[in-house]
Amino acid sequence: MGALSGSMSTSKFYVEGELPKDVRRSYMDRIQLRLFRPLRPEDEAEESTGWSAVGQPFDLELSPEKVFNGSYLSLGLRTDRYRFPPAVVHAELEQAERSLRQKRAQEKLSRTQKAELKQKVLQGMRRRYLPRVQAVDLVWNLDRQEIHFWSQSSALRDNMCALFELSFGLELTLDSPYAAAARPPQTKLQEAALQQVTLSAFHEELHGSR
Amino acid sequence: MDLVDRIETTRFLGGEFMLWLWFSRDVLDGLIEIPGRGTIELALESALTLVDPLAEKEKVGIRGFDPLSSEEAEHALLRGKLPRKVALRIGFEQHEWIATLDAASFALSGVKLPALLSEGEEEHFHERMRLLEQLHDLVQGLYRNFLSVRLAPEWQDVLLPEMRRWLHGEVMDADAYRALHAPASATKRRRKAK
Repeated sequence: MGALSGSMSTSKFYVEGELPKDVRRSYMDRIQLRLFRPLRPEDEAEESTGWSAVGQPFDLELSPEKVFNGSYLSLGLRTDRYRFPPAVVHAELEQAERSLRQKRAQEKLSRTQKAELKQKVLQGMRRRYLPRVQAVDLVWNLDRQEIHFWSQSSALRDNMCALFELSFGLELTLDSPYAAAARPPQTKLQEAALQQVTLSAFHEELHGSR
Repeated sequence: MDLVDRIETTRFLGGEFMLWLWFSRDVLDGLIEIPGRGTIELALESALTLVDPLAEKEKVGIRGFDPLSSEEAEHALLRGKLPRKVALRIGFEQHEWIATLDAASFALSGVKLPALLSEGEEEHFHERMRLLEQLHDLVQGLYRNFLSVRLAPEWQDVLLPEMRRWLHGEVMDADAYRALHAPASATKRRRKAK
């Protein structure tokens, strides 16, 4: 389920700050800098996050035609992650340690040997297994300065905000009763009342309070 | 108090807004006017979650036909709980949306848009986005309408006592409700304050 089809469950953000004059060129350059880069088994990184095409997590050849659509800027937030069950890592590590001890005729392995072996085992596992791929669509209405993000997970929202701020140099405010009350700006009287508003007791007895 | 604190300490406004929606539906038989936009038809659907704003773990979930009229909902409200998640059906200008609104974050989930008429991928995307934004605008319009009274002295003096009476089965007069929420009342309030 995403921006292009299916039912929608989204989080809304307000974009704070001014857009550059040449939005298309400037933002395409910035997006290219933070494009998703696939994980390589030989690297130590276990996670990678970046932009992909909206609705197409494996399409990393982004062009203005794919990203801009009228007043909308659309992207996919792709995160690949190697996640191995600790029990499997432990079992593989034990087996590797046994083999090394036998090969070197050592009764015990040193701390350095163990650390090196763990890296080797994890690298081997990264070669044998594929990372978990997660992709979430994002659509930014540049005229309204609002973003719809197709997830309500706070971890994913935090990841997206971090990458967005790095990419575009703009801050995001997640929608909330307070944020919605402030947009568009209130009258001064309402603004003052909003700063002092407190919870009402609907359940008080009709005559006299509890 | 900084912005983050203010955001956190005013989340209850979302629950109060939902209760106001529920109250407004009962007073106006589901036809609510959004000033400057028009009238929407509001129905509250088959799922409802109520939470105590002072004790988040105190939660009641109700499913089934018209959960708002159930005894469980009435008891929960009389014990100080407020709606947290409500499934809404909104009709406006021949279109109908269904969505679940989260009071604390104003996030919409399970959004079902009106039938799409456009053909072609690009037009389809534009229509989906326009309809999603229209739904947000309608919810925002309702929220502004609620705030116009919630942040005015009439809240304590008129509407809150009326909502308390409603919780005990007494429904406010529709004309009195309309007069209270009319944009003219807000202008008068501003003039008075000056």
